[in-house]
Amino acid sequence: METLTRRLLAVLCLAALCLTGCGAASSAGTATPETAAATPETAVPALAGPLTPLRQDDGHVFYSIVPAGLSSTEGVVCRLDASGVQTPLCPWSHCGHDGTQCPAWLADRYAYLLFVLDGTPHLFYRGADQADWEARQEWNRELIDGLGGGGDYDQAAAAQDAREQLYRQPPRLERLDPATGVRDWLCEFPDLDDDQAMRLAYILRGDLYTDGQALYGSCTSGEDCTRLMRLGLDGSVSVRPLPRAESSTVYAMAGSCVLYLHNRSPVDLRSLELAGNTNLVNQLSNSISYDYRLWDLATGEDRLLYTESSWQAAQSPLTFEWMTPRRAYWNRIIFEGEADRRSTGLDFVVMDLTGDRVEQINWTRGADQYGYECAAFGTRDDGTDIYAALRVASPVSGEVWVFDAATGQALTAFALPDTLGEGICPRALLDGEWVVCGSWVDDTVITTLLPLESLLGGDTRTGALPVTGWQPDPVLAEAPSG
Amino acid sequence: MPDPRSRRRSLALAAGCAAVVALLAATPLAWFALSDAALLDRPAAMDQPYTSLVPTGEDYYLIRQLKAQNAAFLSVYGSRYATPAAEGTAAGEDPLLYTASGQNQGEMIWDAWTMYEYLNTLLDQLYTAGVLDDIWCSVGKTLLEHNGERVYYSNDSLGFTRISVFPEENEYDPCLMVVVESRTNKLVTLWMDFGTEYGRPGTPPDPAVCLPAWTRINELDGLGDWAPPAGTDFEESGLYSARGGVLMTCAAGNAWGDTERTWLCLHLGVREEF
Amino acid sequence: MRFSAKLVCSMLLVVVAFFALGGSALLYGDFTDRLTASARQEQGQHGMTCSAVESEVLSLLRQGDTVDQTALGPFCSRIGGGRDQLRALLPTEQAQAGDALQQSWYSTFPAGWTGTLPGAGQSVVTRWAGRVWRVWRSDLLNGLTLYSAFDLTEVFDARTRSLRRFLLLEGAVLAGAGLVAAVLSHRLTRPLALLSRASRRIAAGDYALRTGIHTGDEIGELSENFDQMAAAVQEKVDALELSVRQREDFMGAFTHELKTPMTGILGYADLLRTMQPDPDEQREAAGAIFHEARRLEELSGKLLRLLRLDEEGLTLAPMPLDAAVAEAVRAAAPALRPAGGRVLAPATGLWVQGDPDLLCDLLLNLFTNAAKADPGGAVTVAFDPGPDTVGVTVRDRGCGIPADQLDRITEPFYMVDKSRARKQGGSGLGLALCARIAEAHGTALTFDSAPGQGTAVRFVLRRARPAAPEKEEPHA
Repeated sequence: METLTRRLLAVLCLAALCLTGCGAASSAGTATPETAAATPETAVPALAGPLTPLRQDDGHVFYSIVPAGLSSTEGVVCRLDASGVQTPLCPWSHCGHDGTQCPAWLADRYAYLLFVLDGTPHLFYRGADQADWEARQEWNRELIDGLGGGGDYDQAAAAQDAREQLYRQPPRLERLDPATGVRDWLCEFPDLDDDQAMRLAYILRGDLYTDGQALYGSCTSGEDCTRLMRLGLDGSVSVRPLPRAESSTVYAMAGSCVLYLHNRSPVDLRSLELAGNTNLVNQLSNSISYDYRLWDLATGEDRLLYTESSWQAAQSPLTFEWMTPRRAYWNRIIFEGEADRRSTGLDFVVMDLTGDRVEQINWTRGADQYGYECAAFGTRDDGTDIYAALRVASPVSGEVWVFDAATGQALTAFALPDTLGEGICPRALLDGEWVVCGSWVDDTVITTLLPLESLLGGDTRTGALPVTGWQPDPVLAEAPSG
Repeated sequence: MPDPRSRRRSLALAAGCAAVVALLAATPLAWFALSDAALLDRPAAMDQPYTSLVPTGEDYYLIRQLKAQNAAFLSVYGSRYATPAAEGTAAGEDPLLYTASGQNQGEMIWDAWTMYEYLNTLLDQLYTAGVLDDIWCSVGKTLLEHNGERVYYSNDSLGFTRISVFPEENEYDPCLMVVVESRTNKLVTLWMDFGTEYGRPGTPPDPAVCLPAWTRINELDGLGDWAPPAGTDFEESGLYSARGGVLMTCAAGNAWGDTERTWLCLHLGVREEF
Repeated sequence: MRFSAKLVCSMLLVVVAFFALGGSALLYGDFTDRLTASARQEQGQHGMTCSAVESEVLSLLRQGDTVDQTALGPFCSRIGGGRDQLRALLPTEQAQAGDALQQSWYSTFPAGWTGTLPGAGQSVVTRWAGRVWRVWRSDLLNGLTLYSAFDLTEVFDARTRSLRRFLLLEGAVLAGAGLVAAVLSHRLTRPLALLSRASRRIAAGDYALRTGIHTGDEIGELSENFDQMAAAVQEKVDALELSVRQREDFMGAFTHELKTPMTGILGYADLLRTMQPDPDEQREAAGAIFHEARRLEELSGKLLRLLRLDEEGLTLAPMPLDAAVAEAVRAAAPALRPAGGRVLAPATGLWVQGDPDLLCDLLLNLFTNAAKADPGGAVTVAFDPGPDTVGVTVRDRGCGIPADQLDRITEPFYMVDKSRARKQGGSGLGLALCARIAEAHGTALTFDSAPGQGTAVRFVLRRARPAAPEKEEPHA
């Protein structure tokens, strides 16, 4: 009797095991469709390190794409160090740097982003869209036709062919050898689908940032949805919409945070417009609030830093300058008068990103201020983080202001020498002592190295070092804007 | 001879036993009495309750019309907020059959009588339904009264009627405007824009009161999932239904220009997702 | 209450309890099954009605028409109900209020309905106007509520009919069970009545009565034990009666033996006192008085010894048999010499366990008795030694003892020939004393006698190791 009971129990246990096994197997077999093909929207890997802006220098060498060639869109990748000599990144000694034979030559410099990662220069080819095909090729076709025949024509036509080839290629990342400039294709970024929004997303407007393993940027689709885009150095692409994705613009990224502006309206302007109320939408545009928000990618928290009405009589909206993990720097123009608003100066605004303190430092410097353009940052010998910003006083003159990055306090300012020409822009700080400054003189791009210590002492002439070395051929047409 | 006392006891025991037997025999009666007491008049949950059909936007005439209007407007006029559907797809067909309603005096039809009365009645209905409180209703009526000669209306191809009241001749912006769906007379948009001479209402009608009342008079409350859209710009000013794909907002603010102005906007619009 | 009645009551209680409970469970299960089956059907119908109403509502909404009473009322009346079904459609807000059905857009519920109404997603069974209804409620889209009610009266009526049948059956079962239980219990308890009767008769004195019940169960066991107890009681009573009888005999005989010499003594003394007898008569009287007195003395002496033996224990010790025999022979000489009798006893050199005085007394009595039976004859003593014992036989060739009196001769005061014994000065206690002495030595007297052939009295003594003789001191 006991044996029989034991046998029965054993059979029951076996049956139970089989049933649970089948259940587990069947549930494992029918995996949910979502996990099989992850959409880019959801699978964004975690940050591998703090976000830092892509730079064109590694602190010692400054890399740039110098306009070159017979068409309006060619360029040459060059390096510049503290010696003041600029050289193309090409191993061939007698190379003309004017065609596909040269590793430094680019058929369409507007389609590339140059940046330094891990001390190595990289090129990101953005891919091409309809605008590239139509606009740039059209420009260059006219140009080439105007050349008539001859060697220049052949060269230009070859460049046109090269561009045609380039536009067919998918976006990719290339690594350049710092010594020879030989380009190594790291990975291609797949065209995800024919959705125009996704293709446009590759045209990354704005700046790129990196965490050491991927590039980060933002893109806004035709549906007015701004997304954070992550381009992994392994060729993976993932996209994530901002927490407030509509009517938003990403300013900068630092640390683990994304700083962006969201235009907030309590009325759904989109549906108002699509219902035919375009006039109302125009009227309500003054009622938009500017929400300056901080999105922490590590925690997922989306925080409102500061908000103000889009319309203010006495001051302009904030203009972004620079962001560190702890602070964001802005400036704004101050106005006077109700009827005719006149600018009377600039104010400097610092947002403390760790708390909720927003400080507006009144710092008016004369009339006719055009605001700041360009910025570069570096570290002084004493360890202070500084950044240099060009404040344009007029179209032809400018001053470089150097700020203590920790406090935002202006350390010094100096006027740039007249010899620098126009469109003056500090680009980098080399070896902690040389400010690389680019400008246009007589339709030519010139680069000058300015000694920082002298500049900090107010001396803008002593030690100024015009950059020598390779210079491109004169540009035959106006550089297209943008 | 049995003792009389023990005889009495025996009789008593026998009687007691008989009583117990009778009681036990009546168990079924007691059982059913108790079970009936437990059953009758005691509501119990259904084991398979009827699950209501879940309505979607397609089940509501008004929402279908709004969606058609959005798609038609986008394909014909375009928008900074959206991209028209690609040509050749179903959504991009027949774009030229739609005409939007005129917004300016030159594009609209003047009607200072019928439409005046219609607006008056509409404001009263909104007040009765709880959509507008007395302050805003009186502002609307005052605007209508003071500018009654400049009442204009227009229609779009899908039956949405716009009625605008302009403060001045040749004025571009109306001070009072409504858009209604003409077949059902349901309000889609209400706009007021006025200077301080009409008062300073301060705050908009309470969205928590105004919007639910508006869903009721628009007969959209049957969607059943109206809720403030958390984590969006319309968290405090709006009510959203994911099933219907529509968003209602109620907001007021100050407009800056030459003088201080106040505006009020009630709008019901399509929004498929956030 | 009689035991059989108690049995009947217990059995009836058990039967009714289980039958009633089982029956209730059965009937209830049946009833519940019917209710559940009905509920499933009703829920299905209610669901279909809900679905139809909602579809109609949606189609109205799609067309942009208002959903109100005017629109839905006719539709509801088309999907109808019946005599056994009731329907009501109304806005949910009004359903929450108390008088829900009054405000219905459509209702077939009778006016004045006071039955309980369920909440949303619930059903309730309720009575109203003598009928039982189950009412279902579901909340539909667009803020509407639908009530459906189904008539359950038939289910409850069927249950009542089943219950009635069951109660009748139960009554019959109880009656039958009661009858059978009574018969059985009567049969089972009959042995107990027999036992009771037997114990009454034994108490009345019929000790020989036995119940003789062998049912093989506890009652049979009880009867057997009872019979054993009765037998033990009877034995005890018989032994007690014998003892009482013996005591009475002893007292009678003793009184008689005492009285006889006293009569002689008093007579002769009175004669001497009252009469003036001559010297021969005086000598005769004195002699008689002396003789009787001696007899009394002997009697009292033996009685005393007998009593002492009864009272005191006896410690036996090794002793030389020859010494006791010799002493007895010497003591018996005065009784034997006048008639010329003698005792012939060989020396044995044996030692035995015993009391020298008592053994001597024993042998003396046997010698005197033998001498009385055969005056002038020889009394022989024979020894029959064994490994542990030695038999002693005293034989005479006297008148012998009749066989039918051999059993009684050791009784106190019993004399075979009373007149002879008295004349010879016997008291009737001698052999009683010998028997007691033999008993004290762990043996008994056995008699072998036939009238005219003499008597042999035998007893067996235990042998003992001779005690070490006292050592004589060696001559110096």
